[in-house]
Amino acid sequence: MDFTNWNLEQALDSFQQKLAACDDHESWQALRLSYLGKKQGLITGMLLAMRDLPKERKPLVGKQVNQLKQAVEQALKDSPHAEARSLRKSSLDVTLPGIRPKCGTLHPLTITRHRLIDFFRSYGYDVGEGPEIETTYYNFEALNTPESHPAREEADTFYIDDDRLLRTQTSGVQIRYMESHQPPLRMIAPGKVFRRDDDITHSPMFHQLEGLVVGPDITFGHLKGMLQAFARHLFGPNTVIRLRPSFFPFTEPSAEMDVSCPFCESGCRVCKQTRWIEILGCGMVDPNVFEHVGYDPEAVSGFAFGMGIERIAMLSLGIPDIRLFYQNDRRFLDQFRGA
Amino acid sequence: MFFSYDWIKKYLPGAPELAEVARLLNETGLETEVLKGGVEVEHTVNRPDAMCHFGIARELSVKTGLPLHEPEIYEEPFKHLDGWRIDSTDAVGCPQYMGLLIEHVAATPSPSWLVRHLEAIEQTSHNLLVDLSNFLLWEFGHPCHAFDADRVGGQQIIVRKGESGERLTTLDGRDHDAEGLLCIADDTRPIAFAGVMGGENSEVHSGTTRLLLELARFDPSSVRATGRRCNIHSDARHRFERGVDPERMEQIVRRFVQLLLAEQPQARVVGWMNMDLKPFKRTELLLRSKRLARILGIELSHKEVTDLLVSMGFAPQERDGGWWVSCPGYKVDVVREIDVIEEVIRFAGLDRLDTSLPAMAGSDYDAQSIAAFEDHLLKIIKEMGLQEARTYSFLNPATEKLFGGDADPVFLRNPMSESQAVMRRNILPNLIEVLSRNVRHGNKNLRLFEMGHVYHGQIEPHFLAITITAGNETEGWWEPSNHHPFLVLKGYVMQLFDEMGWPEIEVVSRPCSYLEEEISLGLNMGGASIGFMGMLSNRILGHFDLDQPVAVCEMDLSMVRAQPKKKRPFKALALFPGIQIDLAFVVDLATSYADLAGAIATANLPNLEDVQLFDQYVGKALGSGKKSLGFRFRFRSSERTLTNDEVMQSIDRLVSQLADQFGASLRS
Repeated sequence: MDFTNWNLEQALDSFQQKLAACDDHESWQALRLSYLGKKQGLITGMLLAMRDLPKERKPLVGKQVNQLKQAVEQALKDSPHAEARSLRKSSLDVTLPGIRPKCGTLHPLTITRHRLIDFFRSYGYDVGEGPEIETTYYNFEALNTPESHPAREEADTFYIDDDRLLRTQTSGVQIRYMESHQPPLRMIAPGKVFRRDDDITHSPMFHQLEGLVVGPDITFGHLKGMLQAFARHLFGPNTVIRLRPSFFPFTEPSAEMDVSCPFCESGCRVCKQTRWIEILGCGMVDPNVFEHVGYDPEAVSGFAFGMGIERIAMLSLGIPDIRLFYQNDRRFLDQFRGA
Repeated sequence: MFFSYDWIKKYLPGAPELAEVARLLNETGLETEVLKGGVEVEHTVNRPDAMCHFGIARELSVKTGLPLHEPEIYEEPFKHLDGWRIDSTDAVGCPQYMGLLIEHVAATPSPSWLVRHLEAIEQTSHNLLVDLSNFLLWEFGHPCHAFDADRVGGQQIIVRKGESGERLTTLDGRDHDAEGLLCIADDTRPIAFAGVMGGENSEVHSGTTRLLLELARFDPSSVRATGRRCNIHSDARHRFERGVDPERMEQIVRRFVQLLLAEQPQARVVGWMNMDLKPFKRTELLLRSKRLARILGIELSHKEVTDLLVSMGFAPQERDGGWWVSCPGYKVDVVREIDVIEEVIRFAGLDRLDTSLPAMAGSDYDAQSIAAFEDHLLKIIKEMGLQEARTYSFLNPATEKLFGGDADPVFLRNPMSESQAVMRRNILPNLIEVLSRNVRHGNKNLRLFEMGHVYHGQIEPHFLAITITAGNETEGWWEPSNHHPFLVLKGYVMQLFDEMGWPEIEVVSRPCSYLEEEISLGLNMGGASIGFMGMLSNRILGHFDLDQPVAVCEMDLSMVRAQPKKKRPFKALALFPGIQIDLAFVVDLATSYADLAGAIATANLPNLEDVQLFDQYVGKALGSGKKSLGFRFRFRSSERTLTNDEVMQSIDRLVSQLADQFGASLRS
């Protein structure tokens, strides 16, 4: 290269014009290479050509070339096209699936159980536990269901021997709890129970959650208020509840609770066109039950309620067949993330 | 139970339309559905009073205030029946027995109104005598029975237990051993099972001219015992088991006569026997208005309560701050104040109750409950990537035996099937079954766990079981999943202990009946065995039809929970930079990781902060019979910056020690 007619200002002007003409990262890149590229770069070429200059011209030209180089580098760096705008044009394919952490899953019955327990814990209920192989005393007698009671035939109980059975309800836990605690108390007993029944809505093993509140002035209205709050927690703030008289040996008066169908406005398959769905059984604790645990039924009153966790899970998660819970097919277990 | 709408209307002429009838019944606690021509009612066990048309009408009458129409009855006085004897050896089993003798009857076809009524509730008409007793069952719910009086030997009715050798063929044609069961007998033999079913030997037939009508009270447990042993589910048993109204008995007998004479005017009532060993006496009690309000949480008006009590037949008398009532016989389970309260609110309507929340003093709350422990554990295991399963607590004894060990498991006396006959002592068998079913359905990379009770005689420890299959297929595009399932499992177990803050676990070699011999490890904690982990043996894999290796672990959470949590002292963060060095040692294949790691630990290298295995390699480059284990060492002092030289001195010492001990060389 001949530096005779070369001057810095022209060179800078020329570069600025070319830079201004750049409209994307590609053209910027081409410009950068044409000035600074290791093989064909203009400035690289200049620096090489300097070797042939007469000694006396070297300092001035060298200084100017360096100024040019610095200015070009700076201008290129400041250019809006200095960086690739689109990641797609880089080496990373951002459309690849992200690398997901391997999260496990909880069983839908556990998910449901947690929803239920969360509600009652927030109201200060203690959580009780008890054996699943029960004595007939805790499963029946202490719950006001003597041998002669017709409910005992209907319960369809699995027996181990004359004195031991698989509990048909978690109510025995409540009896044990009352034996070891004094009122006022509020507690729930979630757990496995067993009945001799097996079809699309009944499983020989299933899960219940029962609750018990005992205090000096507990009324039927409190039970209704508690259940209404519970129903709204589960099915939404507009849920309406309805109580119908019923029978359980350990409560008097007893009732069944229905909730307004959360799935429809005017009748659907789930509510069998009735707009109501039966959810749980409840009632005021029978005085005989208090007497069995040594509480004075004149001094305290209480309410109790119990529900099947499978039923709530089937309703709230839309599961059609109870047996799916116990088959544990991975395609089933995978479905309840985010539920 | 189905009830005909027209039939109900006989006693409640102004009855509302069918849909409204159903709604009202539901409100009073009878689960009712409208069917064609009537209602289907599902009774709770305490409602025998509503197992008949009159009872349904009575319920509606109290609810609506509409007048109840009592059916017509035969009014003439009955004479005592001479020449007959009635006796009972069991005043508890049969407190009351009425026997009415009628002559000149005939088993003629029933009139059309009677046939129509029975057909409306899907009952078949036989002849007038049989149909009338059936009609009365559905009218008043109290079963009666018609004997052919000429077939009752010795003109005797004896209520007694069947004796050894005595048999009875019931009306359904089945023959039963009568010993020990409460029977109606004549002078020589049982002729009916009390409250359950009559016998063929005394049945009314086409030639019957003299009829002995039985209307009695039988003890529910005695009736249940007979029904259960003979496996007879009759309408009579169903009602006697729940209780009958002792106050309406004579009326029912008179109703029978009334209906019979209307069809067969030539029939003649000879007389009756009424043995009443334990006359019914109404329970009298005080319903306190304060108590009523305290249970319900609302005040019902005095008049409303009085009116309800009157219409239900409690004959209330207002005094002593409430109502003295006498409990009517048809309400068989109403004998206490709380029962009366239930009857009042049942008709007043549960929709009247307030919805309020109790203001309560604090009660016990166990923050360390088993439930809280298990919820925490569940959360952690889920976060680690395992999937929770739930299986039955029972299984078939043959499979159970493969896992359970020597002592006897708990057997069910009445399982639904052999596959559910014994209670589990381990969670694994049913969980492996789930795994196997999943594999058959083409599901892969299974990492399942379950937590729950197992049953060891009188105690129920809480167990945790984990099962893991080898994934031969990659699970995502980014990673191969060729880890040995045992190591995956071991990683889960170790991580779980860290996350839960459980004390150190010791892994020891220990044989286990269901694990492969070489990969069968025991888990110890605080010197006690808490469980096993390893690979399922081929025998077990074969039993479950599995064709791929499965890693399993089962541990006793109750034992883990009993241990104190690991102390976790806070460690100050180091201020000085550390030095990291990677070294790969080539050793014989037989040398284990634990051999090298143990030697490194006991070498006590100064300032060694941490050492981790980062690579294991076996390959041609090393020569046969060799492997390389790569360790990453991090040295750091809390007091100063370490120099390379001092760290290298330590390393040199270690290298030569491992060379001496294991013939280890550094991989170049």
